[in-house]
Amino acid sequence: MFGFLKKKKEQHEVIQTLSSEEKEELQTTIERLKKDIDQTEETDQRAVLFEQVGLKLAELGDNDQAIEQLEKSLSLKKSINDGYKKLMSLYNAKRAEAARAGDDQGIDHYMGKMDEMRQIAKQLTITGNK
Amino acid sequence: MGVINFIIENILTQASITIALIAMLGLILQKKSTGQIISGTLKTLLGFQVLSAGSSIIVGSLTYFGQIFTEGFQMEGIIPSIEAINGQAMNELGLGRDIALTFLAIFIFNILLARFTKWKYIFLTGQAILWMATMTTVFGYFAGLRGFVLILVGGFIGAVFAIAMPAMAQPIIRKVTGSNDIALGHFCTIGYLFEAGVAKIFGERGENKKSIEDIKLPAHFEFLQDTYLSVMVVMVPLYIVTVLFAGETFAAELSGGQNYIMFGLLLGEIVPAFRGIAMKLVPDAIPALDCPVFFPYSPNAVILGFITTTIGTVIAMFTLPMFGLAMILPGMLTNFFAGGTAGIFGNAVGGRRGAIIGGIAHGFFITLLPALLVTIFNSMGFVSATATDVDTVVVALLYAWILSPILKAF
Repeated sequence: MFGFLKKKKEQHEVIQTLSSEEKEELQTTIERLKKDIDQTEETDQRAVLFEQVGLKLAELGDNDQAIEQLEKSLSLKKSINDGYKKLMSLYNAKRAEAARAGDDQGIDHYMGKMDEMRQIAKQLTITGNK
Repeated sequence: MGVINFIIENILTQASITIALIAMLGLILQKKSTGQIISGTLKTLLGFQVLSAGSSIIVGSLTYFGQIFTEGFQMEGIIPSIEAINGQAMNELGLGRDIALTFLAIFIFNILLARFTKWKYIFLTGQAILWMATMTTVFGYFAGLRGFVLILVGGFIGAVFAIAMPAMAQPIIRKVTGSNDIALGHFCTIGYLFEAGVAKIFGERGENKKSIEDIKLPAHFEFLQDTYLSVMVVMVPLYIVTVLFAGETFAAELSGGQNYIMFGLLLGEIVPAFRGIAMKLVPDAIPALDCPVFFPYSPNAVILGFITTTIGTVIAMFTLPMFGLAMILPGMLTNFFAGGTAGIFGNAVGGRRGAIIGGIAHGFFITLLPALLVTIFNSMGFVSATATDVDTVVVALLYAWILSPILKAF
């Protein structure tokens, strides 16, 4: 119970530290990146753009959207860059959230996702990130 | 009462049945559907039988290798393999059931310790727990422990390691990942801390500390593959010499990757069943995950760690026999995973120089400890056997050097 309150407070603080200008700026960047995605056909480049959108969304505190975009990026091209690390930590946060809510399926789902992430790291380190 | 005895003596003595029942329990607790429970239980049962069959083949070829090597070179030569120890313990000593139950006990004690102490680590690398259970069971058995006590002592010691290892690695892991969200769950941690210690003494400090990650490698990924290639160039002749003496072993070493898949099948049903429960009972748990999870945070250090650890293991391979110890042949899989992770530690603590000196020392260290274990294994009737995961080796040495003499004194 105590942990639950603590975590909530931390998240709240993160969101509060962004001023409305900063938020606006992030949103503008996201919109611009999304347009870039629409105009880009090259898969690797699209993966990079999706990764950037995901990272910006995470900065905004929109974790669900961020996960969606980062997953899209990895499905286009596997990588172990910043997007990967952010996604791993978002999954883990979701896992903790599900655990606190006593949601078995949620725990299972996100632990499974974290397993997949481990496989990607293993695979890319062995084959040389190709 | 007769029925219960019949069940215990005839059904539960089959290790595969015990472990399948454990999996079934996990699936039921997770409230899976009947179909999922049946298929999960059967899959575990079959997986475990494949495991037994597979490890007896490995045992055969490794023992054969040991004999040939001894005759050929007049010294003991060993390829470390915990799979082989597991196989011998199950097939020849009939300890399969005890290993399975200890495996379960480690999980339960881990959850209890995480729930009621301030160390919130839940160790989720199932394979590592299986090897830990193997070591505590084998060494507990030779210390004279039997049955319930054997399982309880092994489960408790295993769980203490499952909590203490991630906890001890966490300050460095926090530095590398920049968060306290996840921990390292890999029973090679004493080796990593050893490398970190060496890197602290011999590495770069303060402003002079340069991380290997700061080097922008030209054509990064080609370089990476070339490195593996060049290490292969060193390692392959080494193996060819031994292959000339024992052909099968080479195949056994190469098939290491496949073993992992096989064990994955077995653990695939049990670990998910229990981690769900663990996470629910310890909501603020920090999951301790297998080492590849940390590779993305420091990819260059992984390569450097692999190379330097390999150098260290080769040096130790030739040096240790001079002191009357067995010749331990380097294992590429261990060098890659343990060496790579150790490299992250060395680099984080002592920069480039720390990673290089620490890595070579790490390679030596993870060869020395298994070599010390060989003599003990020989006295127990395990021929040409030792293991590489240093935490499990340390547990084995604890049993052999401390627990066993104490028990025998009474």
